[in-house]
Amino acid sequence: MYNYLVRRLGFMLLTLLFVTVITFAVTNILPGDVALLILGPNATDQSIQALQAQLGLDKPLYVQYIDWVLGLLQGDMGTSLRFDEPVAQLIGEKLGRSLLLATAATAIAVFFALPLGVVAAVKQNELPDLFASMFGFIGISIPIFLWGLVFILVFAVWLGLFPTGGYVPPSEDPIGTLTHLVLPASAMGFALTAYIMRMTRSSMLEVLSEEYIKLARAKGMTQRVVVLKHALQNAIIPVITVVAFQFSYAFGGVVVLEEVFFWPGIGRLTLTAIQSRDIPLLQGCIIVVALIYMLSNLTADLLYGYFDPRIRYGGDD
Amino acid sequence: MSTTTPTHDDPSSSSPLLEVRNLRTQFHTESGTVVAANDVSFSLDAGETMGLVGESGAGKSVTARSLLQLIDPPGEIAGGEVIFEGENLLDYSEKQIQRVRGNKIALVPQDPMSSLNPVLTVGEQIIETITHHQGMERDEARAQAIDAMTDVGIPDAAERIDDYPHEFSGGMRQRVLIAIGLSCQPDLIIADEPTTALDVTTQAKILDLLNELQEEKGMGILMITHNLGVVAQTCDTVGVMYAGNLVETAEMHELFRHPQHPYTRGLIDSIPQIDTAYDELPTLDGAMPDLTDLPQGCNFAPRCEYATDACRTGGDPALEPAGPGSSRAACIRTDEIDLRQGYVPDDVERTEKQVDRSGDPLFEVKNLKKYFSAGDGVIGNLSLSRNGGGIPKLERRYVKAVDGISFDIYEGETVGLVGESGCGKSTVARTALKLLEPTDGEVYFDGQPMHEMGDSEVRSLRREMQMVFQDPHSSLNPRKTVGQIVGRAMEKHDIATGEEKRQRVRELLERVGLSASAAGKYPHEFSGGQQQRIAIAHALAVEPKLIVCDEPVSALDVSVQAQILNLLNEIQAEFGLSYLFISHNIGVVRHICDRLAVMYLGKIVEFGSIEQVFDTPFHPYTESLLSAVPHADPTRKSERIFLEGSVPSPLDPPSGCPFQTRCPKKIGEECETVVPDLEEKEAGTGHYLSCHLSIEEMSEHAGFVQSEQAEQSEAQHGD
Amino acid sequence: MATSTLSITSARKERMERFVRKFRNNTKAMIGLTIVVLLVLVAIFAPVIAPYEIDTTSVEDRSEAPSVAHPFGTDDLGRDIFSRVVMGSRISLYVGFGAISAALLVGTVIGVVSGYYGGMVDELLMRLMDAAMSFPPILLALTLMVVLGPDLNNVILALAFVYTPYIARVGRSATLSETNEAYVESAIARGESSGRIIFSEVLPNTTAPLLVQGSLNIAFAMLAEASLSFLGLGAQPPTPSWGLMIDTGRGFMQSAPWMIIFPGLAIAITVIGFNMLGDGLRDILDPKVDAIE
Repeated sequence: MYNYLVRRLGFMLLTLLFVTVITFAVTNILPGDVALLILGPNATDQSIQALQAQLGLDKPLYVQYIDWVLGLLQGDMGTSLRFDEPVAQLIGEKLGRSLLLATAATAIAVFFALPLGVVAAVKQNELPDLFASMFGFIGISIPIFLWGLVFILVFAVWLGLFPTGGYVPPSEDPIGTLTHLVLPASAMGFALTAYIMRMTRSSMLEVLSEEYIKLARAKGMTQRVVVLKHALQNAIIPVITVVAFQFSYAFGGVVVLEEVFFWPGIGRLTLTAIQSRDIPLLQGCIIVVALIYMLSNLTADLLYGYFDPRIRYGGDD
Repeated sequence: MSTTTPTHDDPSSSSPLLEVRNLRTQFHTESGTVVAANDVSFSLDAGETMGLVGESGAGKSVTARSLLQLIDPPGEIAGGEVIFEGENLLDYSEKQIQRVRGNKIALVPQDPMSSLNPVLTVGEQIIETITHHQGMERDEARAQAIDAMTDVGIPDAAERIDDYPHEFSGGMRQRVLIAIGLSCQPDLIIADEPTTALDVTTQAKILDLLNELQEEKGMGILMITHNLGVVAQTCDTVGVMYAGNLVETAEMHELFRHPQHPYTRGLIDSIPQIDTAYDELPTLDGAMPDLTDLPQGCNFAPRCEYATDACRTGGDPALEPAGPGSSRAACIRTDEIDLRQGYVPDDVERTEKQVDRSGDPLFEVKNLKKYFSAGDGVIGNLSLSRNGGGIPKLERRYVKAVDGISFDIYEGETVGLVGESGCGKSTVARTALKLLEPTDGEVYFDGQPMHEMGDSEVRSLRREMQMVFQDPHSSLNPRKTVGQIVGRAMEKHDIATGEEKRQRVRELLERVGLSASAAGKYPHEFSGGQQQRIAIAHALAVEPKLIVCDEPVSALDVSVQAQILNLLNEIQAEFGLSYLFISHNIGVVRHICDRLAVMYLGKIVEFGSIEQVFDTPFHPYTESLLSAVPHADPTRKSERIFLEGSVPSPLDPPSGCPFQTRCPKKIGEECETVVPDLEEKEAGTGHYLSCHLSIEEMSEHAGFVQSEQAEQSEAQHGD
Repeated sequence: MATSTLSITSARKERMERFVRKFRNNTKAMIGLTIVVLLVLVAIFAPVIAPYEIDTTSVEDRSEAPSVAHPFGTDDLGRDIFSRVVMGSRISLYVGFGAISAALLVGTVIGVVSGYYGGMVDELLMRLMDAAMSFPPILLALTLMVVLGPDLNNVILALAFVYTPYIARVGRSATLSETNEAYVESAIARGESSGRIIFSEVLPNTTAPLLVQGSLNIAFAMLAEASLSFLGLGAQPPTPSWGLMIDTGRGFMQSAPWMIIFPGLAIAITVIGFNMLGDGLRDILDPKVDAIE
């Protein structure tokens, strides 16, 4: 386990290095001179140069990169051009809301997907499997924003059960936070359920054909014990990775979904950064989302290691 | 039909423990219904061991699993009865049969590596069986599980019970599987190839254990195996299966003494014995028919030398009493033919193969080493060590797969490398051919130093050295036709192109025993044996001087194996080739090799001519290896030398002699500290041994060989 | 040689027949294929099928509910939604096929090279792919679109970039499992060069998993295009992109829900088609499933 951990962290650091490089590279070939953008078209060359020097834009690219990474390490993501506030602070305000949305969506998905996937695998090619399979195809084939719109149309506009969008901080009105959360979280949860269910099903099917399952049957174990004890404990291991991936996928989804539901999280912040060409803010948003992806992957690896005794007690191999 | 006395059964009851009547199990596939077990009937008494033997696809496993209704769709049990304790198990509901499985009848599966649930402790897997069937409290069940583990010879069972399967070696996992089977004290154990996945020394221990347990507990055993040696060592009665049919049942000694079905005779003869020299192995032509495309008459008729028109047209013959004893055979001619006489190598015609070793060797390997980094990837093989406390150090660790090996091969000679899995024999082959980059050492081909050559030089030298792989299915590119595969080799080395190439491909295919039209087909259209012939043709295409054969027959059934071995011998005689022959099968190397190197943990422990290696003085490892081989002849009982523990990890090999941790003849400190050299113990004999013992000491206790040879003459002349 | 060539074609034919038979027996694959074929036909004959010009606006026909004249209704500018949905199929297919073809081209090479050589090359390439996959696809595509500027061809470029790592991963693992096969070692032992082994021996055996991944990724790419256009960073008005149409329809959700419903259905059905086809192909081509037979 010890070496496994070290190795995982090693991979992650290397990936993280590449992530910063990609982020920096992509955002720096953005068209448009930042200084010009800030000062407006009437700025003089002199003032532009002065601002460039102030922002460090006159330095060579690799120096800018190193400065930026060093800043990141100290939690300094620069200052937003649009809001004139530290990027870290801006993101800090919004991140919690997006986390809330993504976590709720993933929780909904796991709650429904696991039993569905297990039942579909056990009843392979029977009615429950066909139903789950159809549901799966629909779930993964409809864009999240469309789910959002349909949910708004049906539950907010036609039935009037929930607000059409917006956000209320829990410190003001916890119930209000929940009612505002229901629609976006279910819209996203719906799509995630489909993915996780499909993975659970195929993982279960694979495990169910293993020799040790045959032996469990040959020992006279009942179907219930075979499925829930012998098969599920093995099948869940790869599903953990998928759940982690879906959680971070949900973070990509929030960019679109927050726009649909006017949910003021990091997704809308990213869009704002894009629309206003706010490079430091955009860099910050991208890095934070990628970091969340990597952290959730690391969590998955740790859980993986915990659930798989071959890794947990793997010693030094 | 049993000759053994039931030990715990009611003596007045004459009914057998298990009686199978007309069992029929079939599978629905795209190409129609396949009958995997066709009208199978046999019975088994309490306390008896019955062997069910046959080649792959014969239907033995399906039969065994049908007894417990363990057939998954698209398979189905289509008919018959399985009478156990007076009731037909096939009438049982799922709920009822669950009470029998693991409780009254237990199954010990084949593969110890995949049959244990990796996320549950071994204890849990035994305990759940006990609590489920016997309604015991957990504490009690735990104690019983520890007893079962102790019974099967797992040391420190009470401590190891909470370990996970991956913490056990293959042999120990097989013991755990047996412990699971034994845990509810069943009346019958179905052992489905319980030793097939194990090395021969481990196999010997497991078979011994099964025999012991049976004596102690008196349960019946149904032993499914493809290995007649295993049968001879463990069974009281035997059933032989072929293409879904039970073709012969007999008392075990009777089966070997007087087989009643020609297939049984052929099967027995095809096995190369470790103490018999043959020019050519007797073979059964062809291979077992595909179950989707069975012949009209007797399924064996196309391969049977005794077959008549009646055999070919008359439908499946019924299993009927045959011969004077209790044997039954499914052969209409069984009364007319006498199969008592086994194959006797013809001493008159046998000409000793002469290898000229006066000049320089064709191929020479000196002090070859190959270390692999442990773990995967560039970061993966780094390991933190905190030996002796302090700051953890980052270090690279290596598996010393091959650790200083030297041997040579002369023209026209076959040199064997034998050893158990993980000893590094396949790595030697790949490293010597520079398919893997050697860590250190010298390799000379025809005097040219291969270890100093660049890539392109080695590539052009490959024309001289070819390789035949273990799994023929995997060694032929599935996207290319046989003609393309064989022809490409010729093109690559400018041997022939165009029409000439195609002509030579056809000739070559005919030479290896296929028809010329095979060139237009894809590899998957051929059986395993035929695929191996194609692989041999591919190797021959460039007219090499040396062919490295890496376990070329171990993926094949025994009757097909003999055909391939004969082909290799013929080709050698015809083209004057040299072979480096890698195998774990002692009988096979005995048959095909001129000289043999025995490997253990990356090193050669003994090297010499076949006669020298198979006779005293022995290296202690060679001795135990030879003693562990199960003979396909019940009249030979050899005294087995059981090795303690299992092979140490090559990541952390023992100090001194690599074999010292398990050596039954270890003399003391010298073995633990000094690495023995591989040296000629008697100058000029060419027999090299790597051991601190004296010749006299290495010649002691080798009784099993002599006694065998004495018995052997008796056995061969029938009775 | 005539007989030999004849039997080669018959062996190939047999292989093909086996595939077709399995395909026919797979409901998923058949439904998927039907949808995809219909879609391609609609795209090809779109100008013939569409009853109206897609950018003809009409003030009096604004936001009309579905009727015989306008089966899908009209939008806020009075354009016929049916015609626009039909023409939109071209955009969806163009982006899906375009992006994934490019991703397949690049990703396969990266994957196969990485898998075959292993070691340092593999490590670096795969960490790079990992890094690219650490960004949620949509977010990465969005950022790239900002750099490249909103344009349909740029959508293809951005999505090709986003999906290349996924293809590369599949290509790598397929190559790894193939290099474990002895025929690769046999080719090395025969003296073949690495290039020839990679492209002539290994590559043809990796097509099945790549084909499956490709068809599934087409579905994803189509979804992504819709999302990008929905956010205004993909196709630009008046292009009849389905995502863009939904974006426009958002403002009229209450009064003219058909502006969302029909383009939405078009996306859903199209993507379901490719997903089912990919899933079905996986069932059919999966070597594990093959071995059971």
